Amino acid sequence: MSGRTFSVILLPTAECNVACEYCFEVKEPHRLSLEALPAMTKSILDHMDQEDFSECEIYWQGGEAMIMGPAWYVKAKELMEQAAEGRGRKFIHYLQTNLIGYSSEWNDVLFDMFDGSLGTSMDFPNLHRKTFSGSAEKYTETWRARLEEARSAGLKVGVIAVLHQGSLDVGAEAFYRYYVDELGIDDFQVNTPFPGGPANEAETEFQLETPELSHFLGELFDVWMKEGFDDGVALGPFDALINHFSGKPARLPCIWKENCSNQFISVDSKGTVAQCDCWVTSYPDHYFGNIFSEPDLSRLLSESPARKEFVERPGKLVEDEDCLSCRFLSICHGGCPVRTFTALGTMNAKDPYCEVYKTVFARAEKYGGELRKKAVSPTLETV
Amino acid sequence: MDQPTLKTSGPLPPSDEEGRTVPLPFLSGEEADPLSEDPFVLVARNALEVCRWLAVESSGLQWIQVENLLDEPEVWATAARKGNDVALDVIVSDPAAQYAAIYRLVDVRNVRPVRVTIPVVAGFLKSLRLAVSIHLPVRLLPGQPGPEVIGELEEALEYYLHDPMVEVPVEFFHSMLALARGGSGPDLWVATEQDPDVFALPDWTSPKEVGFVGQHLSQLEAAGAECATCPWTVVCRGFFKVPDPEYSCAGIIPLFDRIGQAGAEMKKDLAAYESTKESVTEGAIDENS
Repeated sequence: MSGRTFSVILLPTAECNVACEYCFEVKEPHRLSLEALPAMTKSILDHMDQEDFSECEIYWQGGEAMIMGPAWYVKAKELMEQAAEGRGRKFIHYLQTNLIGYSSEWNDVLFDMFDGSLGTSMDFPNLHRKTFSGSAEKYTETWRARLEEARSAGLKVGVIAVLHQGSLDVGAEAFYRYYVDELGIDDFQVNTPFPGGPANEAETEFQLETPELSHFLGELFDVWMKEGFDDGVALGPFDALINHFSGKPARLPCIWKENCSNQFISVDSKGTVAQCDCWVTSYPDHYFGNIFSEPDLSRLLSESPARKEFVERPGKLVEDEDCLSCRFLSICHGGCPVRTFTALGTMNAKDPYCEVYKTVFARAEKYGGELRKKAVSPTLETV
Repeated sequence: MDQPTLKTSGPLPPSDEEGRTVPLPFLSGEEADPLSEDPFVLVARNALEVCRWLAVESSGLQWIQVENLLDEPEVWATAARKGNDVALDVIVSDPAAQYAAIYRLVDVRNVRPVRVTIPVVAGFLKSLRLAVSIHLPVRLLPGQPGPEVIGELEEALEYYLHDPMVEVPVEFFHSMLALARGGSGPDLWVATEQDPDVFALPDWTSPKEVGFVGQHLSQLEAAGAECATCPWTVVCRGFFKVPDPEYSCAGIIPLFDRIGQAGAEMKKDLAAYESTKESVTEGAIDENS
């Protein structure tokens, strides 16, 4: 086998237990049944055989993934593991949850299936993640309590922060200190926002001015390098970029892959297949197909006209945009299709955050170069 | 950066039983025998041929030279799947127009070694940039570059020498730089895989006879060609005088001067680094004693 890895963002439900203002997902009440899971698993394994993938990473998301309950995951893992082992393949499971539904009942499955770690999300300041009653304060309070409980149980928790206008207003230093000093987080990631799905009022908070966002991220990079890097604080995607520019193996985020279409797919509880969770939850015109009505996933992917657009996107960008002359082409490739689509109505244009990325890349190149120099002259540094 | 290689097994070029060098044959699908243990390169010009040779285990097969198939996505979908792990040398026949199609090699690169070969014609830099951006080693075939591409060749050299985002070898620059900084390496004929003593190329318009390069250079020097006084003849060996021996190297020599200068700078920097490191280490020992 090739040792290559395939990834599936699997949404067992579109249901959610909170009411974040900016969420663009269509929250249809539907759950993946344990009766349907074996068929889905078989399709994925057949595809792995066909394409010679030895491992498949399953990223469980929602909706809210914890709505399925811990017992469901215990059974799901058992079903999937049995099927994979019989064919010499392996599933590796990851969980992304809002953590609101967490309790100690989850601990066994979190340690057994997810290797004792999970990913969650929190913005700073939290203005838009809300409970059904409409309270951001209540949401934050509940989330922080769950975070403490999870960490007390020995779970490793990584946090994704989506930037919004309020984040930029408080500034990079206060933003960093909230996660690292106040919450005690040593592994977090900042995501650039995009106004996906149907328009709503909160979207304006997430349409950030490029110069302001660039400035914020540049400052955040500086703060992290000064205060967190040497102490082992992981801050994505800066850490991956630093690895890249200092000559270490780096796993850059999906938005900067040569072509995300060949790296992963997303499947929802009804079997809908699309490029990623953003597409599968919001853009029916870009569905690749349905894994239950077309169980041959390899054929579904190879024959999908919608997927062809993703496959051909990087080539189109170097022909139609200025990406080919950009010195960062090798680590960007035109950026994220869904960010582009939501901003411009087409994916065949470069990512609207192009200038933001260039700022971040330049910062990473500078710091990575310095680390590289240190690495080749350790004697000089230490004597 | 590592030296590029497409060799999958054994030393090249192969030797016969008496130890003489045998040029590596480039064979068509009709000529090649998958059961042969003698090294050969398969030249594939249609999709069926590529797919067939990607499915066979052949100990003699060194790599597949894929010609005129960059625009056929199904070839690359097949090459990105299971099969043998034989390396591919993909010829970009029209580099000014086909550069975007190089993206099709991304997944192939994940399962087998892939190199792209790019003729130096107007617009070739687009293909070079794209190949480098997806981390594919490149072999440039300069031929006898006209004035219209000399500027582009200079730009390509600067890109290779000074852009830190270039992380793969770009031949012939790479081998020439290795020589210029005092390392060992092949001459230009071998670096571009055009020496008939080493590579028995197919459909080649230039001479194929063994011993050609030495004879060619002797003739040039005897005829008073600029090679007689050129400082780069030792690495170039009259490469740019084929097929037209009257070709002027006025645009080429500054290119090699630039490589020579970069090589000298690297050599100096490395020597300075070594001597600083030694003196610091000695100082540390003195302090500890």
